[in-house]
Parts: sequence; structure tokens; C-alpha cells
Amino acid sequence: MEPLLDIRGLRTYFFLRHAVVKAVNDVHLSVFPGEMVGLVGETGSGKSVTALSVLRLIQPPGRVISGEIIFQGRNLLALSEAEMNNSVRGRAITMIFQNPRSCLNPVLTAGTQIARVYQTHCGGTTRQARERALEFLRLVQIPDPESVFNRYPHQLSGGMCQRVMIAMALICEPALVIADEATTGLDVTVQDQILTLMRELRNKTHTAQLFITHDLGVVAETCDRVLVMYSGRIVEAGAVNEVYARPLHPYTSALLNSVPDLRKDSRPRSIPGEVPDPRNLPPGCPFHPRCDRCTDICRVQEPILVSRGGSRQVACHASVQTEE
Amino acid sequence: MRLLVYVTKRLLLLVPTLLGVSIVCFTLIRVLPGNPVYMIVGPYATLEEIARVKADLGFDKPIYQQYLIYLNDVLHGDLGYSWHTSQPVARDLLQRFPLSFELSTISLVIALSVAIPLGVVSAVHRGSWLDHIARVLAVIGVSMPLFWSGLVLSYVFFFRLHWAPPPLGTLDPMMQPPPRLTGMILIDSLIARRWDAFQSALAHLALPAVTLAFSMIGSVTRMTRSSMAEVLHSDFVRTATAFGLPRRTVIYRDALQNALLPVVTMVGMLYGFALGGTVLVEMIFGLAGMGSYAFGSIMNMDYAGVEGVVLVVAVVFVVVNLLVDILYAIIDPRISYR
Amino acid sequence: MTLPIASGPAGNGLRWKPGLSRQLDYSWYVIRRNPVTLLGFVVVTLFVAVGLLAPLIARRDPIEVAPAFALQSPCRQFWFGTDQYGRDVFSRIVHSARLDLFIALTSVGLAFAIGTAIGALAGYYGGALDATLMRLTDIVLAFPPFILAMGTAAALGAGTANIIYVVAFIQAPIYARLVRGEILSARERPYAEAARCSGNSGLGVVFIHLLPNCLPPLLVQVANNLSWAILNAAGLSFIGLGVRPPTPEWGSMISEGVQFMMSGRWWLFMFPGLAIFVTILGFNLLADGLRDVFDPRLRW
Repeated sequence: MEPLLDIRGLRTYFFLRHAVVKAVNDVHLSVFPGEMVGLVGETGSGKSVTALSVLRLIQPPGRVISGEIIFQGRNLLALSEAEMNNSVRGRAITMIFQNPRSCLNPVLTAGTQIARVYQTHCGGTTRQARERALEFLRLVQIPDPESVFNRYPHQLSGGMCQRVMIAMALICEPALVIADEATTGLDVTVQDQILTLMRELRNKTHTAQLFITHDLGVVAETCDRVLVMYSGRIVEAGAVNEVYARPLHPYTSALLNSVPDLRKDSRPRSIPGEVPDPRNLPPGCPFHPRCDRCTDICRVQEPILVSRGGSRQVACHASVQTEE
Repeated sequence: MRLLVYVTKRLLLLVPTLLGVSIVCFTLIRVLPGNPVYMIVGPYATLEEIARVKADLGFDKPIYQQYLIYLNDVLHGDLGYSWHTSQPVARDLLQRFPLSFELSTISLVIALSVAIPLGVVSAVHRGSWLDHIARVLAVIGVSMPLFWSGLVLSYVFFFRLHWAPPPLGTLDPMMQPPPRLTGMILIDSLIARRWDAFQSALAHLALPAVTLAFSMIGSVTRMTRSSMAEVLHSDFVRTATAFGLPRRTVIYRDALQNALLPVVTMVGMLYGFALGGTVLVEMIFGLAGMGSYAFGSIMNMDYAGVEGVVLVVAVVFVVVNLLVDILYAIIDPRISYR
Repeated sequence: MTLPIASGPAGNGLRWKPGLSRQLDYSWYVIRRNPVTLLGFVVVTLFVAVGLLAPLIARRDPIEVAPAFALQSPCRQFWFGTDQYGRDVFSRIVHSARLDLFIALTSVGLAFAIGTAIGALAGYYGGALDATLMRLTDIVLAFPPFILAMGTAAALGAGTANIIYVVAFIQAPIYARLVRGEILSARERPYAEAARCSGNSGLGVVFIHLLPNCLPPLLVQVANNLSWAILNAAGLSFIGLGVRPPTPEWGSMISEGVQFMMSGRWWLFMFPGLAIFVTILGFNLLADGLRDVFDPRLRW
């Protein structure tokens, strides 16, 4: 099957006055139609920057310096700004963010903002747009859509705002929705509701979803496939249950181990060392200073992402050696 | 409906504020000076006048009673007697207020029409040469003393270049003024269809209005620029862009709408500044407004006149601020729809 | 350039916070780095220097009348020309700098002290005290500043001391509000609670522990207010409610010079005005540059 979104060799760097931050450093990522993919990593690993690069939302001093983003047969990086606005953003690929209330214009009603997205991309009269907006407010399970339509963002709860954003994201029936930490900061119960909603929507509309999060639990619950990101690179990929059961990359296993288990009476195990300074990455594998399976080659040569059967991929010298 | 509640609340707050203003004015005219009688009657009063005023004012009565008498007088439109014009202060002010109002309003309109676009363009094209010029202009405008820039303009445009008319009032001295309806010369000329008077008034008001406007442009430009720059980096602008809304709409509709909110609140304060500035500007350009009346009163030690101006200007300022607050509540749904 | 960390005279009382010296270092760096801010700093320093060294810079007596030299245009002998009484304009401008420096510092100092005290007490103790004090400041702020200054100066009479009181009076509420806001947020912080628990009295907590941390935005306000004080003092003198003649003041010099403007004697109003303009410009440029250092958003 052809991937819906195929990111190849993406590099997005931020050119600061005295340093270059290599936020995304040779990322390979695919999303297939209708699947729910999780992109996991710590803060600063480059997950959000990857997503923003897809929609070409990177502002100076950042810039995408190389790579290809193939979406529905076209390289998004080669399109003009107008083409991106007209055919991709808000239409074929949509994105929802953290802090949904601050993502909405405070002086416009929720409904107006949803309807506006529809009118911009699909035309239609104000009434048609309103009807469609109401339809989608119902779709995201908002009780009393007419009332919410006329409310302002500050009158809505965080969960409601996120549902409004989801409605906005789906109204033009995109092929891919990117959710960047969409449930972070919400109440756990609300989080659960939103994730359930996203699953149901996928089942109903077959929209592919890319979940960007640092929360392994969210990915476990919601996603079919997971990609683990560290220091601007993908280090492991595969089906969720396989990766979680048998992690191949030392970082993945360390991450999984660091989640405290309430059944056992043990202390949470943190990963020793610190995330590398993106302005000053260590040579070779970026994880090697913290890795317990570090060998000489790890210090020198960057590992590449290789396939390990099926959808499994891993970028690690040590795992290759173990296999052999 | 909630808007109505908000407006009512603010109107009710008006009362204690105005009372406070009246107390301060009372303090200025009765309590502070050593011998307030002389402030009111002036240096050339006769002994009988002094005695009469003393009895009138009831200086033997306790202070709060004097205040109540004062308040009562003010509410009945009696602001004392201006000895240097031989008229009640209230009548003087009624005659002169419209011109100052006209001048302040025109200046404010000019200032906003120039400063807001300048600030917006400055923020949108950050770092460009336009931005730098705008910032330089802004800081110069804020740093130039109003009374000096008026003089410089007058010197350059009238004395040297002979483009502006002599600073001697609002109309050519040879010209017959139009019938007085509102007291605002431009409006009266328009109503009477006196294009010659209108043109002459425009020419005479140009420099004073520009002087006053120039002193306000600086702060408005800066405020607009920083507000706009902040909004352009906000989450909802990024989201709007992420949803493919055209850049034009995002900047000049969404961002601008939000960025202008703090500027609206500034307008009230600016108006106060403009009113204060009329004192200086009118004197320089020979305009017969409230400001020059205050100046004349000071020169002639006619304190009833001065304090009358202070009271009236303060009341106008309070009312303008109230209107601005209400306007803001209408525009920003976060205020009234709580 | 590092400041020593000293402890105050009360022993366990005031200490220069290490943060403060770091901020001063950073301020100096910011000033040096941006040429515009540096220009502002230079101008302000020049102003202070001229003010302090006035008698040394301008040897001629600014008040001495010399009718023989009346109304001379700028020349080698009189750099800025002379006025209608033959007084040297340059000398008068220099001495006025001294006067304005004094007025600015004392009035802003007074406003700062009174306003900060009011705001701190209102913010910390809250309740009825807060409500009353804030009502009072609201009433003062209900007036357009210059109008209130004019009215108060008219009531008090002209004179240098009165200008200082008037300018301090109209500026104090600004500090009161600013400090009140800062204290309101500061008093909820853990370190405030710690100070209370260690046995400090209420006043002690406010003035020794909370206030020093609220200083940075106040300092930007001070820089702005210094220039504003000069502007107000000049404005009041211009309309005759300020410094009494023959003491030279930039504002009154301008108003005296107006009558000679139409006969072409531009130096009488141009130079004093330029002096005000340049000084205030310097303060504004400096304050703008320093705002980056003391921006509360960058602080915490």
C-alpha cells in the first residue's frame, strides 16, 4: 500500500545568532491511509517541529533545509505558499494543537471560526457553512451544538474547545489529521473522552491521524503504529503492541521502563544523563552517552533506520549486532 | 443583556468618581491656597466685595458645609465669577469649550489615522526600513515637548515659508464668522455653507491640530506596533494559518482586530492628554478655546477661571473614559459576556 | 563590573540580591550592544554631568543683566546668543539643566517613595485599606495629568518647591498601582510565606522581602518618569506656573522667547526647546533599551 504521507530525510534547522539548532535531523516517517500513528519523544526531541514542517509552518530563524515530504503524490516542500494554503492546509492535512482555547480567536464565536474554515476551502453560503459546522459539532459529540456555536472561546471548557478544534479539523474531510499534544493539559477524564472520540472518528471517517505526544499511555490506547523520536531522529518504529512488548532500541526500552508500575513497589527508573543540547550534538548516535549498550562504533557513526521485518524499524548499531 | 448590566454598573461608578473629582477641585480652590478669597475675587477687589464674598462663602462654616455649598453651586451651573472677563466662569467656558473640543477631536482623529496604520505596517514588516523610520518618528514624537514643536512649526511654516496663516485665531481677521450654532467653527461653516470660512478655519486649525496630533502619534504607534507584534506570534494566529486561511485575512482581520483592543483603551487616556495639550497649543496659535482661557486666567491670577477649567476638563475626561470603556466592552466579548 | 554583595546596616536586614548585580551587569551589556541605547545612555550621562557641573561649564552668571548685549544672535562670544536682558542663553540653558535635574530627581524620588509605600500597603494588607487607598489614587488618575498639575500649581502658587510637590503628586498614583499589582502577585509566592513564617512583621515582609523583588519594572517606570517630570516642569513654567523668574528654566525661557519669534530671533526659543527635546529623547532611548532587561515576561 502506498503511504499517504511519506517524509524522507527531513532536516529542519534553526539558525540562531551563535548556534544552529538541529531540531529535525534526517527523519523518515510514513503514515498510511486510515491508520493512527503515534510519534513519541521527550520535549525537545523534534516531534512538533516535524509536524510544523509538514504544513510548512516553520518561521524564521527556522528553515527546512533538505528532504522530501510526499503527500498524495506531491512533494509538499516544492509547492508554493498559495498552493499550500488552498489545497493542503485546513483541507487535506489539518492540525490541532495543545491549549485549544488559546488557539481560537477570542473575539469570534466558536461556530463562526469553524464555518469560516469550511467557507474558505469549500465555498458555500454562510447558511450552508453554518449548517455544516453544526453537523460537525454534533459529530464531535457536543451536546447542544446551536448554543456552543454562538459561544465565545472563553465561555467554553478546555475539553469543549478541543472538540471545537476537532470539528474544525474535520470539516473539510481531510486525509490526515495531526494532533500535536492535543490532550496534554486536559483533565484525565477529558483526555480519555477526546481519545475515544478520535478513535470513533477514525472508524467513521477513515481519516489517518498522527498523534504527537510524550505520553506513552496515550499511544498505547489509541495508536496502531508508533514511532519513537530522539534528538531529531526516529530511532524505532513498529506496531504498538510489538514495540511495547519487545523494544529494540535502548532508548525505547529505557522509556518503557521509566513508566512507574503501580503494581510493583519499586521506584521509577529514570534514564541517566541528559537530553543532548541540540546546538551541540554528540558525534555518532545521539543516544550513546546515556546508553548502556554503547560500543565503539556508536560513538563514531550515526546509525541509520533499517527495517527489521514487517513494519519494524530501528536505528541502532547495538540491536543489529545483537541480531547477528 | 449582560452588556446592559455592565453599562449600568459603570454608570453607577460614575457618581463616586465625579464626587471625588469635585472634592479635589474644592480642595484646590478653597482648602489649599492661603487665602482663597483673593483667589476668587482677584487682586483688584474692593473691601466690600471681599466682605461680601466672605459672607457668601461662609468661611465661618465648617469645611464640609462649605463643600456642600460648593457642590450645590456647581450642580446649578455656578462655577464662580471670572473677574478678568467680567462674566460668570460657566458662561465663559460654555463659549470656549466647543473650540477646544473640536481641536482635540480633530487632533485625535489625525493621530489615530496616521499612527495605527504605521504601527501595523511596522509590526507586519518588522525590521524593514519602514519599521525603522516608524520607530524613529515615534520616539521623536514622544520626546518633543508639545509647546516647543508648535512654536517650531509656526516659525517654519508661517514665519519662514508663509504657507500657514498667522497664528491669530481660527479665521482670517477680516472675515465675517458664520452664525454660531455649535461653537465649532468647522461645523458651523459647513451648516451655513460658508466655504470660505470653512477653508480659512481649516488653514488656521491645521498647524495646531498637527502639533497636538504629532505629540500623540508616537505613543499610539508604539502601542499598536507592540500589540500587533505580540498578536502575530500568538497561538490563534498560528492556528489560523495552519488551517489555510489566507494571509491577508489572518493579518488584517483576525490579528488586527485583537491587536487594536489595547489601543482602544488608550484612546481615553489620549483624549485627556489632548485636552491638557490644548492649554499649551491654543496659547501659541492664538485660539480662543478653553486652554487659552485657562492660560489667561493664570496670567491674570483669576483662579476661579483656572479651577473652573480643571473641573470641566476633568468631568469631560471621566465621561470620555466611560464611553471608551463601554466601547471596549462592546468590542471585546470577554468583558461583558462573563 | 560586579557589585559586592553587602549586607545592610541592620545586620540581617537588607542585602543586595545577587540577582540585582547580575541585572546591572546585563543592563550595561544591553546598553553597550545597541548603539541607539548607548546614544540614550550617553545623552543622559551628559545631562547629568552638565547639571552637576553647571557652574564650571557656564562661567557667565545666568541671571546677570547686561542690556548692552541684548538680543544678540549666536556668535563666538555668546554661543547661543543673548536674550532681551542681555543674559547669555547658553549659560541659562546649562544652569537650567541643573535645576531640572534637581526637580526631576526629587519629584520622582518623592513620587516613588510615597506611591510605593501606598501601593505596597494596599497590595499586602488588602481589604478596606486597599479599597480606600485605591479609591484615592483612582480619583487622582481621573484627571488629565497636565490639567491637574496646572490646577494644583495654580492653587499652591509658583515656585520650585511647589513644582516638585505638584509633579510628585501626579506621578505617585502610577507607582502605587504598579507596586500594588506586583505585591499582589508576590505575596502569594512561597518566599513571601517563608518570610512570614520566620517571624517578620507584616511591614518587614513587605518592605524587606517583597519589594526588592518587584523593583525591575519600577525602574523602567522611573526612567520614563524622570523625563516626564522634566516635561511637566517645563510645561508648567511655560504657562507661568513654574519656576519664578529670573531663575532660568527651559520652559519659561521658551515662553519668554515667543514674543521675539516673529521678529526672527529664533535662538531664544529654539535652543531651550532643543535642550528639552534632546534630554527627553535620551531618556526615552535608554528606557526603551532597558525595557528588554527588565521586561517582566523575561524575568521569571
